[in-house]
Amino acid sequence: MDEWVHSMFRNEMSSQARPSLDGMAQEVLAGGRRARRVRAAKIASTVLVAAGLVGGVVVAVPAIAGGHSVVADRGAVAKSASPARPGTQTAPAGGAKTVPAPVILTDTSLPPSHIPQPPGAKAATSSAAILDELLKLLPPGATSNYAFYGGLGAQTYLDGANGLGMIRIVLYQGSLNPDACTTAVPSDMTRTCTTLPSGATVLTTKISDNCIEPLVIDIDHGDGTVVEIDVATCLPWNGHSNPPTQLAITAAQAQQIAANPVWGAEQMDASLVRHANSRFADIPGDSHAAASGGSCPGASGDSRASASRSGKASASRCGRASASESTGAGTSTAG
Amino acid sequence: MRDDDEFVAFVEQSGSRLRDTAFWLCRDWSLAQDLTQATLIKAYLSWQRITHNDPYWYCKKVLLRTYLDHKRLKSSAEVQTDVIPDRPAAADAAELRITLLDALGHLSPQDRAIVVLRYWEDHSVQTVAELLGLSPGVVKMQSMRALASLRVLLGEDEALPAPIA
Repeated sequence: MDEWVHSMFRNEMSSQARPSLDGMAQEVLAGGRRARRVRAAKIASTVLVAAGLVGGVVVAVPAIAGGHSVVADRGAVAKSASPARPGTQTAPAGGAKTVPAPVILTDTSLPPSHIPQPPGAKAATSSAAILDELLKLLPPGATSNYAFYGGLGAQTYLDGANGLGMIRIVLYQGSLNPDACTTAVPSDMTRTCTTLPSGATVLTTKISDNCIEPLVIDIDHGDGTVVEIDVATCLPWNGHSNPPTQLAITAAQAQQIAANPVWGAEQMDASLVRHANSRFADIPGDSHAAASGGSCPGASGDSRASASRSGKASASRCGRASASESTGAGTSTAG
Repeated sequence: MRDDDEFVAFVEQSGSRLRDTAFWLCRDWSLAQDLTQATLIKAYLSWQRITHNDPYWYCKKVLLRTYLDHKRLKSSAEVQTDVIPDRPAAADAAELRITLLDALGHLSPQDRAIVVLRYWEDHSVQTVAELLGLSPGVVKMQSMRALASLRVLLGEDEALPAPIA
């Protein structure tokens, strides 16, 4: 008796221009694999915290924090951590379902500082200050498509000697997990830990099937600040694809930037922060101040992986790039 | 991997159907694509568990939940109204006629889901009730109410079966 509704559905659908579904299966597959990795890491960090609770040494709650990074409690893993810092260690390759160790540890007690910040007046770190400083430290080239990324982080394109590419930087409060250097990682990932002359640990992560994070450098400044640089081989999602690009900077250059003493997850130079907040007041992003300490609260594995075609997904800022993240709001020349 | 191959085959077979349903729910192809993709990723994460049962049924439930959650989170972004717009009797009916898509926009997200499941997906009241976690009585009542709204919104002439030539 309600055939009229049926026929209206059919008629209207037949008049709709339905977008192509080409490539959707592969996108979903890639997103699913990524979500599986994030979920596995989340479970691992939860287990670590549970172990810490049993031992009575847990002081913080873990949270997902970035593409490959997972915040965990330092005390929770301290017992199993290597007593001495490594010279060079490479995490063994595991299977596709291997759960990598968390990268970032949160702690209320600060580890010794290896890369101390320069003295002077300080102000709460903002994503604007991070972007401003990143632009100063990049090698020569035109920069564009600025955006704020993660809790405390920024994104820029750099068109320099190596060609056009995207670079992201995120500052975390915490320290690197020594176990990340030795625990088996999935087959599409490699992790290598080295030590700088200052004593700071450098974790180099390469993920072969992730064009946003094919090269990730994390450096533990040793004062509660971990700086992460993501060097991408594609641009953010433009509604159809992630256009492929070059690595805009080398691993050595990324390391040099991440090791700069200016970075602080809590505070940075006051005049820099003031100037940057004013310079980048119009940049899109939801986090200008150091409120969340470089984490991505609320970003679940699923939502992170569901890269938004329309830029409407609420948690896409912390995940694979979406159209909304690529909003270019400025262009300048670095170097 | 065999599981991945099976999953890709499932996406290629069912992705379009899921996206069409998502489109009727959200009335936006981009968002429909997002909802479908989010649904399929969740299916991928549970693939080994659901593959032995009915993955499409699972996906449909996840899609509905994702859509209703999305509407709850974004409720301030969409203007809902229970007031049916005035339709001047003297105006040209063809110009004023709204589409089913427009009319669905006047229904609440849950009522819209019920109508889409009943009349686009051709599910029974019992099945819709199961999918949405409602009682069959509620589905029946809300379905009748939603249809009555659609009749008014679309005009009596639209509500009549097409004349046989």
